[in-house]
Amino acid sequence: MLNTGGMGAATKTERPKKKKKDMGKTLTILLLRGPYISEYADLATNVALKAKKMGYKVNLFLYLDGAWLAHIKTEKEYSNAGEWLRWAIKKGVTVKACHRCSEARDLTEDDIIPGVEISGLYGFLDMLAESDKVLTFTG
Amino acid sequence: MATLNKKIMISLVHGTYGHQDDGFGAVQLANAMLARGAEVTLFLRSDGVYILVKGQDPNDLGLPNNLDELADFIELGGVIRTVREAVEERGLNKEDLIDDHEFIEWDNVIDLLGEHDFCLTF
Repeated sequence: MLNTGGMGAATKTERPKKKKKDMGKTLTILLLRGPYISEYADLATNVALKAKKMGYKVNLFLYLDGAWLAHIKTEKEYSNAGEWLRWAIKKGVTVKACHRCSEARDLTEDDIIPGVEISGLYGFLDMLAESDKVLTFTG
Repeated sequence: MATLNKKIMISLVHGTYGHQDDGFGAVQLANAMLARGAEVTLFLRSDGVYILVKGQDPNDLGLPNNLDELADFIELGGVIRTVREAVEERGLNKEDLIDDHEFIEWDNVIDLLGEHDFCLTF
């Protein structure tokens, strides 16, 4: 039926769905520092989000003190590194935290942001295997 | 388990034991990479060169000895390149360091970087 836009025209004009960009490339980010001791956790999640928006497939691996980022679960009245991480996960960034680093810091699956997988180092190597670019955030 | 067909450079710039656990973390990761078939170069610059010092003993700190991790790294086929200038600036000599490494001059570092797929900095 032709939608004339006139009275009684019930047919809804469908807005074309926005196609997600896909660069066909993968970026992996390795975060070595915890939140609030420096800006690296914020930078890593922000770069992840930007890259995702540009159409990259993005992986984020939390290693050494970077594992603490997954522990920031509550709301804050100031810059919230955990909120950036939750947002990144929601946007499709794959996030894994080092098992040994998490265990050393008493971080368990029940204790961290949902969507972060606690994984062995081979989890990071799987990310590397598919990567075109790798960035490390440390200082 | 799939082989990791990559050439990876791990650049260590921080000293051992006293600065987070970067040295330990770098070599642990390097050993996992080697075990999965990657070619790995450990590139030591700045305070990173301290990881090579002979006779280090962190027992009193209750920490594992990085030389044990490095021994595994070498046995698995890892290669160590050390910036000569960084060693000299710290008053260290070749005799102060374990033998299984080669010095590199700054002029050759760009070429070394270009030989690898990725560089991770610790």
